[in-house]
Amino acid sequence: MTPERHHEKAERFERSLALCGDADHEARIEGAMLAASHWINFALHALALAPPEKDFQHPYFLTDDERSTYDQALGPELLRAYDEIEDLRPFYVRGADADGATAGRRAIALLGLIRDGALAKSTGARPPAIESRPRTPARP
Amino acid sequence: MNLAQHLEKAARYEALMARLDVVRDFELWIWVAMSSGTNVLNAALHAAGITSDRACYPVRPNRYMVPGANPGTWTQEEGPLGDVLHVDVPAIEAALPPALERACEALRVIDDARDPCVRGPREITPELAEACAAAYRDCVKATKPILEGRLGGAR
Repeated sequence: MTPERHHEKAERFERSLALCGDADHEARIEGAMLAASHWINFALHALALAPPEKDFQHPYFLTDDERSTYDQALGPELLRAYDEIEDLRPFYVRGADADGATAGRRAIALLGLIRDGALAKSTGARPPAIESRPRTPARP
Repeated sequence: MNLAQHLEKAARYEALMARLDVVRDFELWIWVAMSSGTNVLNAALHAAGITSDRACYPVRPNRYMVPGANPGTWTQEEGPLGDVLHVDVPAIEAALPPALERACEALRVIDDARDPCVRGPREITPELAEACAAAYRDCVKATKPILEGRLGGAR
């Protein structure tokens, strides 16, 4: 998809995630993963690191060369944060480990890091053509 | 996961679905509906004795996180079919009762719309949203007799 559509999708997810609370930790983790993938794709396409027809989905689908290229361009902390969200999924989404609320809040925090990083790296490359909306407010 | 854990997750997913607007929040709604429906399906598959409810977490098709030798440690291994990740992932080779076939068919409606709308640019229309909401209701309805038989009418 185009960077503009990824930006729009990411913001739609963040607006919906604002309706989630601690009891919705699975949805927070999944929604954070999906929104983060749109922010990363926004940056990758805006920086012309990947064409619009080649979207990032899961880190384990990347080749070593792709991972290295993306880490150099975006900073390794973005995909590390994404890895951390992915690592929550087996235990808290597909499993039922204790203290899912903390995991859900962590996923939202990681999403914020990825969003801010993707936007910062993309600044000046290709600004989104759509109207900016408020970001996800913090909720207990 | 065991049957009770699946149903507890499904109940919380459904509580969130009730707060989301099926069109305005469609991307998160459909992911939650798919997740909830998959938990309901897994519960019914366990109740019917078709899949294992052993304590393991599916990571990818046919790979599970299983408890390690020490508390709090986990290892990955292949194993007999436990929880499915999505409808048809992994495929279930055993013959399904007609009610579970109907549940899977309903979940396929949701799953077919999921990626094109969530990761791709497929247009989200009220008609599509309602078709997915109806499919979710069909999935729950189809599994209900099996789950009630196991739980004595608790669901």
